Amino acid sequence: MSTDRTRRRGLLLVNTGNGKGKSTAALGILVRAAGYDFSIGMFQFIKSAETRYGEHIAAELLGVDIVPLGDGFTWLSEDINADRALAERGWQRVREVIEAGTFDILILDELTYCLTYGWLEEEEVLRVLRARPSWMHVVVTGRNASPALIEAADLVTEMHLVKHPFREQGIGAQPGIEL
Amino acid sequence: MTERTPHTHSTGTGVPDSSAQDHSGQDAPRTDPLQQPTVTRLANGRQVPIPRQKRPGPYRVPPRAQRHGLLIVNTGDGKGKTTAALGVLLRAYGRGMEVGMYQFVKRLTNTGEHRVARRLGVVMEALGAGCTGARSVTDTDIARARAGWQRVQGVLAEGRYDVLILDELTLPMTWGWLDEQEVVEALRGRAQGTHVIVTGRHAPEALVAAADLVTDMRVIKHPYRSEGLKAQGGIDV
Repeated sequence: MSTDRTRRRGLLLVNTGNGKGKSTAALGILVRAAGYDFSIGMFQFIKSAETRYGEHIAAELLGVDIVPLGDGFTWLSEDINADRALAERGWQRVREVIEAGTFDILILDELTYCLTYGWLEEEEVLRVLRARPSWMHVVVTGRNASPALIEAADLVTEMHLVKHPFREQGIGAQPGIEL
Repeated sequence: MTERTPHTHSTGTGVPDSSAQDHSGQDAPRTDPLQQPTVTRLANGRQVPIPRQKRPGPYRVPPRAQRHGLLIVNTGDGKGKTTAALGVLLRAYGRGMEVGMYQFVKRLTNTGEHRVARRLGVVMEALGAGCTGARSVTDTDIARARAGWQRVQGVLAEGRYDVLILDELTLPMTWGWLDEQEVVEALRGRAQGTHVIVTGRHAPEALVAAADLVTDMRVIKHPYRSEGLKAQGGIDV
């Protein structure tokens, strides 16, 4: 499988829905892509830089940096302007790596929340995503993907919750599975 | 196998991990003195769900004897069944857990996930005889699926893994190559504390009934269907 950029059609993938598997499937793409030595960037818009999840540790072993951009307390924050500023700072970084063509595969984890809450201008985000290099694959995750984002995407999957142990059995999140 | 020690993490915040119960009862009212987001309604008039953010760690993997091994099923026609299982594999590996993956239909071992598994020293075996989409089923397909299941049955009982992925196991079940009841029984009887992830379309009802967590991956849009694009390295294989 070639990493030749001229022969590749870059896709915009969206993993949305209320079920488990949005970020997790993006991590699966990271695994596959690492196998072919693609350059991979993963930016997490909500996850806190303070926390190291299982994926951060393992991705480092694969030579992939997962960059948390959020403060992890976004919904607990008292200052909506601070949330917006944080999201905008994160988006600036992402825009730079898109325009510079730094990565073959770029994962924008939980980006949809920034759009839903109006912290980022959706039009601007979609414009930058559409204008990305033709070979660049982008994966966007998060609930409530907007119709405009779905329209712009090549592949959209809705992860639909059928049965969940948090809900039905009161079993909490487990390290290695959810974290 | 590279030498690894179990990872434990301290966030340095000194915050005790008392928020594990935050995930229970998703519809419970939020009791923290929280600021509501400015946008609370979607364009279609529905309430914006408020994603719950845990306080960061520290997280610790409980010993097998003390944890509830989950049976997780990723099904549906959409992309993301195997891919999400691979994501869990990565996470669990990062937590220092023993992970293994057995693929019931796939035959190829030069795919991205196999390359990474070799690099990390993770057991990943393709037990299948290849996709039968464009050819007729032979006795070899059935024999390989049955032989693969014999092996995996042993693995399930022995409890070597913290996370065991049985990729596309639903397919030989659906096709009648494996006895559905027998498979579900063996999954239920798995070693204490083993998380098992079963992937594949058309998860049989008995499997869904036995599972703790089931996700249906639905196609909203897929270019391989609408534009005839081929599977791409890094994304699909």
